[in-house]
Amino acid sequence: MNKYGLLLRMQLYNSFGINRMLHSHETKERKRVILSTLSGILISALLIFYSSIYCLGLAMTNLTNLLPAISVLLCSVISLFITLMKGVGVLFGMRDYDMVMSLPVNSFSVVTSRLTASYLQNIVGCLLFVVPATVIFGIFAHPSSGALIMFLCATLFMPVIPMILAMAVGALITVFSSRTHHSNVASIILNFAFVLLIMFGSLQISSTKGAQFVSISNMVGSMVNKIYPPAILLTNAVNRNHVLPFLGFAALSILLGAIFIFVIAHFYQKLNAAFTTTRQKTSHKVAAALKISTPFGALYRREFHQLFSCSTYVLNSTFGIVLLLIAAVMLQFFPIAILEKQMGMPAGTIRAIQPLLPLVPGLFATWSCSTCASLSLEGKSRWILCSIPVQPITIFNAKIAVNLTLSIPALLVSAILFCISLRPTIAVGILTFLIPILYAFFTAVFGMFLNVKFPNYDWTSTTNAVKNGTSVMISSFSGIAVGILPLIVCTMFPEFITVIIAGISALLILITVLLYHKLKRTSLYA
Amino acid sequence: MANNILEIRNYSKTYPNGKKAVDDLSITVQAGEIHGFIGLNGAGKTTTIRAVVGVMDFSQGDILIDGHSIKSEPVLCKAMTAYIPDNPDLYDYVTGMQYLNYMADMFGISLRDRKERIHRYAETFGMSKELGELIGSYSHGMKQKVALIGAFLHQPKLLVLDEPFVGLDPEASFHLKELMHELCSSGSAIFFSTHVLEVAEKLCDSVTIIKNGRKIVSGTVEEVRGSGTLEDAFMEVAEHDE
Repeated sequence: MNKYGLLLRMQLYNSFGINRMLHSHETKERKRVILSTLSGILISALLIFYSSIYCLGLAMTNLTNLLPAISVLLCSVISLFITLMKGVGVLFGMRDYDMVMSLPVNSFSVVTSRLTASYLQNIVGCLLFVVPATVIFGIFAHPSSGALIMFLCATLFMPVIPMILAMAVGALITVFSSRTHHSNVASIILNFAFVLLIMFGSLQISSTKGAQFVSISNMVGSMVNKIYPPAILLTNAVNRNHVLPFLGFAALSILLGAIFIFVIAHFYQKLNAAFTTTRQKTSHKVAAALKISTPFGALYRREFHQLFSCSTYVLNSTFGIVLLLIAAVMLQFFPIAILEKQMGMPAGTIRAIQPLLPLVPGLFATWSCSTCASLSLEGKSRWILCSIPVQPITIFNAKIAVNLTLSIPALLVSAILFCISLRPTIAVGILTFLIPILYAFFTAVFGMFLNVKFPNYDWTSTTNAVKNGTSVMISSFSGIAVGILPLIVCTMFPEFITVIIAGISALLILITVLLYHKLKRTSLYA
Repeated sequence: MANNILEIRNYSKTYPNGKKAVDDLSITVQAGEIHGFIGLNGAGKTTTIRAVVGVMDFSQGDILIDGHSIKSEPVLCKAMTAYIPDNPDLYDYVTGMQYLNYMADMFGISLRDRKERIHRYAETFGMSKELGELIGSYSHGMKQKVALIGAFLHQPKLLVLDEPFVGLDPEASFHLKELMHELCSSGSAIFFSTHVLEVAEKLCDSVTIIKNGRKIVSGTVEEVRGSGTLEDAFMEVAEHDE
């Protein structure tokens, strides 16, 4: 096997958990891998289900010709998200950089192997949409076998350009922010801005309702073809059964990918140096730097240092509450009627669903969990926590407190803003303050419990710890379920909203208290 | 009655895969004593050290720090102990000073004492100018020095070091040895593992040699080395079956 293959194999050993499954003799480890695999299968099944429903919708309205463009669009968004969420840590500032670069391999092999591993993960994400799209396209559009093969093969090239874009933007953000005084703050703000830009763009394109389905989908199709030229090549290739545009699409992706690899490989060492360079502090004074505090206070302060040392961690931990604050602020500046029109809702919908208001911030609170990765992030430094003279619950309390410090002020501010703009009844208003706080406590304690159960200490970059752990995955999906299910049940049984909200609250309190008691009895070992 | 700072009593550790890393180990380290813990790679040194400082669970035997069990009173035991692993991974995202302040908070050191001790130890290890920089920018040796300063800050009753001299420059090694003697003269004890037998011979009052998780020999340096050197004694143990 050549050196690229060897490097790639090592990357893949670390990527999918198969190696741990095969070689670990620990039942706990095997259980962890099995649980991760099952969660992955469940998520994949859900995504396949949703993409099938969407593609069927297009096919039923005779819009099968849009499937190639829509596939390119969705795969691009998926790739942008996956790449951005995994962070530029895939390529730069990795922990094993010195070890890898000291091997007798050139930077071209290193860069290519890293990008290939990331590319394979993107491909898996894209296939979840393209396979159902191709099947439905085959059934409804009756294309030639050549067109079908081209559609399916195009998946290999769809993630390339978005991946390059996300990596390039991520790299620029990191290099730029490392040159500023508050590097992590700059990085966090820029990353937030980029993710929100992608989300806003996707929402603008996808916010549609039944009656507008045909016109909006047509508009989306033509818009994608206009703003993203590779999409029109694939549309022409598949719809008109022309090989040349397909080859053009493939060649363009390969060419841009190759240029990116060559440029990055050429400047790899310089770029890595730029990534790892931090501004040198000038002088320091012992007396001024020292402050006394309790062990809890010290742990709490350090948790914040840890949080703000990794922009991906901040992004992950605060994304829900930032979105909530944006929504709450927007309600102050845009009349409700305009927002309803923009979102395609019938007039008066927002006021009609006011009794559900207390549950809405709760949903966003479940998306803001820092605790589910906080223990994993201790990584190889966990010997410090394990050897200091404090009870494990004090350590957990500090991590939970940081999560609550992030979420509760944002929830309270948004509750005030919602009450100002929507003017709910006094009872609903009070609940809008209280219920989200219950959700925040539940999210923080549940995340902590999960991370204690499923710690992931063997990461090579902090992004890996924040994004790839079993605890993070379970916390994300169960959090969404806990946030959305009550909303669905309330919508189905509007006459029992009060009872449902009371029931949910009691359940959240009970689970939170039980989990916290379990945490109190937990020991912490390295 | 002798003042035993560390008592390892019939300690055994079996990993979940069935491998017995340490088997029925008993060691006693008294106040004022520097005890060297010697063995081949994989002999069970780090497994024992991790159990002593409470970062690894174990089921068989017991470990007492100044008469208190690490199993039943872990926080009290940890408050009396300082530990430096063989490869001290510190928090890369804080400055050296923030790390030391954090450790001082953990061990409840007064502001006056921490100022004085940080200043003193930082000067000793030549780290005063670097404490304001992020630990992530430090070399291995500098991280080792910051970890050592953090360990000496609360004047532990038991200092546990895993290969403390690896990565240290000669000057820092010299100062570390001086500080180890100074700590022991104040009534503390030191338990440390090393592969550098010359250092063990010169520095330690007593040593234990283990092989395949079992204690082979333990006693004062003079008792263990007999008429030869510690290296001779160790090689004899290493090359022959128990």
